[in-house]
Amino acid sequence: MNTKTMLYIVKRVLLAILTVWIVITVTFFVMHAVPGGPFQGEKAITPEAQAALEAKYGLDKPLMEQYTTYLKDVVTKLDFGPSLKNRGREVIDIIADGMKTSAKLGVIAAVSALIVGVVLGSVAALRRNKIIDRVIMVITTAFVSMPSFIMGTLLLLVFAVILQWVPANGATTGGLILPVITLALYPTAYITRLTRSSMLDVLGQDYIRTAKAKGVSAAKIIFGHALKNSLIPVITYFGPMLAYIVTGSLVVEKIFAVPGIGRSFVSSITDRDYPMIMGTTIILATLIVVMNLVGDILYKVVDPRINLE
Amino acid sequence: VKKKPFSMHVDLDAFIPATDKEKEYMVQMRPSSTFFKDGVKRLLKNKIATISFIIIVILSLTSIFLPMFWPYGYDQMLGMDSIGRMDASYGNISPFRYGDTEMERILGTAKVHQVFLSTNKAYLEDVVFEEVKESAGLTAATAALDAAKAELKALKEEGSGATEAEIAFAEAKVDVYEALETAEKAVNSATNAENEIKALYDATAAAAKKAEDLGLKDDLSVNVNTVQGAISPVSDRKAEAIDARDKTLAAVNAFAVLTAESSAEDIKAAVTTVNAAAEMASAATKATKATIEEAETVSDKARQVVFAKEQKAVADEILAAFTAKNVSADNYKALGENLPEGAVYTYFDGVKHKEYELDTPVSDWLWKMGSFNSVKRSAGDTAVIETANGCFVLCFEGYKGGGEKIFPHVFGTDAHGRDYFIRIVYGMRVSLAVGLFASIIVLVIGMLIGSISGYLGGKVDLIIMRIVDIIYSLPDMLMVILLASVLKLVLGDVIEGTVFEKIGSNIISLFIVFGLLYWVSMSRLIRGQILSLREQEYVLSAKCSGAGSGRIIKKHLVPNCISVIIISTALQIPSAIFTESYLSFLGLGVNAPMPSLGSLASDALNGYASYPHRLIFPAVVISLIVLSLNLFGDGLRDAFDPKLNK
Repeated sequence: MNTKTMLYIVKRVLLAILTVWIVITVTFFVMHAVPGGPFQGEKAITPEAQAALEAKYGLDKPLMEQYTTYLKDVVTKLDFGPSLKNRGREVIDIIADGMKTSAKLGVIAAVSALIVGVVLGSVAALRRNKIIDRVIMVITTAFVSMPSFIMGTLLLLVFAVILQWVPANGATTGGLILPVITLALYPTAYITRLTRSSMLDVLGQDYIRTAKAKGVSAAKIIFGHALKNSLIPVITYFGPMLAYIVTGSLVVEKIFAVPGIGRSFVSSITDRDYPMIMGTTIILATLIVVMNLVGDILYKVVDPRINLE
Repeated sequence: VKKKPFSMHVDLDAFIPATDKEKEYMVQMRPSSTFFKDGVKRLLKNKIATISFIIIVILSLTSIFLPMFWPYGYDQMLGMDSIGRMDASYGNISPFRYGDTEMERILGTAKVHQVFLSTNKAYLEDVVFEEVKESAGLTAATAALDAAKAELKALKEEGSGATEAEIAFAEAKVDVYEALETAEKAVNSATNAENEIKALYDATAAAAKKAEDLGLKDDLSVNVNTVQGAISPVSDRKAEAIDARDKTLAAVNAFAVLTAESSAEDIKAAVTTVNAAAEMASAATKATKATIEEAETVSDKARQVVFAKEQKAVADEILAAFTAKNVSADNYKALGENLPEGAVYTYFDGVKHKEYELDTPVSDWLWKMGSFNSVKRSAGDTAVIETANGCFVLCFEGYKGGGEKIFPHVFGTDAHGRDYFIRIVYGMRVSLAVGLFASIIVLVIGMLIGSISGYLGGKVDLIIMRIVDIIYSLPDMLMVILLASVLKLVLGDVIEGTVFEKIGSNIISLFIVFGLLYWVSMSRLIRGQILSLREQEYVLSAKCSGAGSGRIIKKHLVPNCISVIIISTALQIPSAIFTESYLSFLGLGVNAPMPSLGSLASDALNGYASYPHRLIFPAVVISLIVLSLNLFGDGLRDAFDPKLNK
C-alpha cells in the first residue's frame, strides 16, 4: 500500500466522520424545528406538567446547550435519551433489541443477493444472447422496476394468504423467508446485471484470449481469471446495496410485522417519538456511511489501477 | 459547334467523367443529418424503447384527459348524500359490480321473483290407465286386409289371366276390409277413452279426498262431479262404436257371400253398407275425444291444487330455515331431497325471462344461488308466492329489469366507496406529475450549480464540489424521510390559504427534499461535461474567432450537454416516482384525499387478503410506469449518447 492510497483512506475516513457529524446536527435541528414540540398531540396536560416534562427531558435549556449535550452523549455513550412513547426505555436499548432481528434479516438478504446475483450474472454472460440470458435479463428488469413494498405485499398475498406456504407474521419461525426474498430481489437483480456486464467486459480482455490460446480449460478461465476480475464492480455496489437494504427493511418490516429496527422507526415517525427518530436515523446513517467507506476502500485496495481522484 | 437540338447522335460530352469539384458538390448535396435526427432514428430502431415511449404517452394522455369523460370524481364517495352515508353497500365493491342503490336504479323497483322451484303443470304425472292397443277383432281385420291386398296384387300381375271383373271384385274386397279395420280401431279408441275417463275420475276423487284431509278451502267436488259426469257420455259413445263395429261385421259377412261373378251393382251396394257402418264407429269415437280433454283439464286443475299445497309445505320448511338463517349444507340436502326435479326459471312479473338447466339437484342449486349475481339477493328476502296458475313457488325477491344504464365500476371501489379506476387514473397523474416536477427541480438546480462550478473552476469549484461530496455521502433515503416527516408539519401553517395548499404540504415538502438532496449527481454530471467540453478544440477556435462567453455557452456547450441532460432527467423521473410511492407507503406521501399510486397501494394493505384487486391494480400500474420509463431512458441513452455504447 503506497502513500497515495493511505492518503486517500485518511481523506475518506475524515469525510465519513464529517458526514456522520452533519447527520447528527441536521437531525437535531430539524427535529427541534417541529412546531409545538414533542409533547403536542398527547392528552391535554397542564402547563405545570408540561414544564416539568420539559425540565425532565432537558428541553427548557437553550438550543445550543441541548445540542452540545446531545452530541456529547451520542458520541461518548451512544446515549440518545429515553423514548417518549415507550416510557422508561432508552432509545439505544430499543435499537439494540431491534438490531438483532434486522441484522439477521439484512445479512441473509445481502449474502443471498450476492451469491444468487453473481451466479445468475455469470450464467447470463457466459450464455450471452441465448434463451437463458434473455430470461434472466427480462426478469431482472422487471424486478428492478418494482418497488419493494409492492413486491412484499404481492409475495405476502400469494405465498402466505392464498397458498399458505409460509407464515405471514415475520416474528414466527420461517417468517423471515418472505422478508428476506423481498429485500434480496432488487439487489439480486442489480448484481446480476452488474456481474453480467462486467463479466462480458472481462471476457473480451486480452489476457482471457491469451489464456484460451495457451489451452487453459474453460473452468479455469472462468473461475481463475474472469470471475475474480468481474467481481470488482460488484464491490462498488456494496455500499448502495446496504443503503437499499436498510431503507427497504423499513417497509418490509412494516409489511411482514418483523420486530426489527425498521418497524420501530416507522412507528416512531407516526408516533412523533423524536428521540427515537433521531437515534434510529443516526444509527442507520452511520451504518450506511461506514459501509460505503468500507466498500470504497476495499475497491481501491482490490484494484490499485483505479485512480480515485 | 452548335448542337442540334433534336439530333439522334450520341452526345459525347455526357460521358466525360465528373471533375473533383463536381464530385464534392454531389457529396454536399446528400441529405444532411443533424445529431438529433440521427438520435431519433436510432431511438425508433430500438423497438423496446419505442413501445415504452408509446406506453408512457398513452398513460400520460389517459391520466390527463380521461377524468374529463369519467362519470365519477376521485374523491366522490358513492352512496353519499348531503346528510351523510345513505348506502353502505358501496365500500369494497369488486370490479364491474354495483352498489345497492345503483342496482335499484338499474333494475327499477318493481319486485320480481326468481323462481328456482316451481310446481308447474309439467311436474304433474299423467294419469295411468289400462290401454288397449291391439284387440282380437283388430288383429283379425288387419290379417284379412293383408290377404285381400295380396290377392289383388297377384291378379294385377301380367300373365295371371285375370278378367276385369275379378280385379274389380278384389279391389272392392280391399275397400271392405279397410273399412272393417277402421271400425275396429275406433272401438279400441273408445275403450281406451272409457278407461281413461274412469282413471281420471279415480285420480280426481283421490285428490278431492286429499284436499279435504289437508283442509283446503277449494271445493274439488265440482271437479270430481264434472269428471264423473263425463264418464257416461264416453261410455255411451263406446257402446255406439261397438254397435257400429258389429254392423260393419255383418255387412262384411254379407259381402263375403258374393263372388267375382256377382253383378257389379251388388258388390257396390255391399261396399257402401260396410263403409257407412265403419264411419259411424269412427264418429262415435271422435265424439269422446273432446269430452276426455275437458275432463282432463278439470282433473288436472284439481290435482294441481293438491300438488301445490303439498309443495308449499316443503317450500315453507325451506323458508323457515332461511328466515331462521340456520341453514347448513346438510340441512339443505335434506330439504332438497323433497323437492321435485325440473327446470328453473327466472320470472320478471310473470314473464318467463331465463331458463336454467337444472343439471344438479335442487339442494346444490340453492347453494349456487348464493353467488348469483344478476339480481340482488340476500338471505332474508326469500318468499313463497302463488303464481297465476295457482301453484306455489319458492323464490328470491329481486327487482324489475330494464331500468337505467349505469357506468360500471371497472376496478370496483375502495373502502370509502370511491370509484377505484378514476382514483388510479388520478394517482397516475399525481405520480407522473410529481416525477416530472421533481426531475425538473433537480435539473434546474443541478444544471445551475454544475455549470457555474464547471465554468468558473478554481476555488468556487472546489467549495461546491466539497459540498456535493458531503451531500452525496449522506444516506439520501433516511434524510428524505426525516425531512419529509418534519417539513409537512412546518409547511402546514406556512402555506395555509395560498395556492400551494391545494397541492398539499406533503408534495411540497417532497419537492423541497428533492431540491435539497438530489441535485448533487446532476450537478456533478454537468460539471464533468462542461469541464471536458471547455477543453475541446472547437471551443478554443470559437474563442480565437472572438466569440464571447455567452455565444460559447449557447452555441457550443449547451447543445453538447443537452443529450446528457435529457437522458439523466428521463432516468430521474422513475426514481422520483419510486421515492414518492415509498414515502406514500410510510404515510409521508400526498395528502388525502388526493391519491398517488403509492398511497393507493399502501391503503390497499388494509384488507389485502379480502380485496386483492385493490392492491394488484396500482401495483401493476406503478410497475408498468417505472418499467417503461426506465426502458425508455435506457433507449434514449443508447440513442443519444453513442459514446457509452460498448
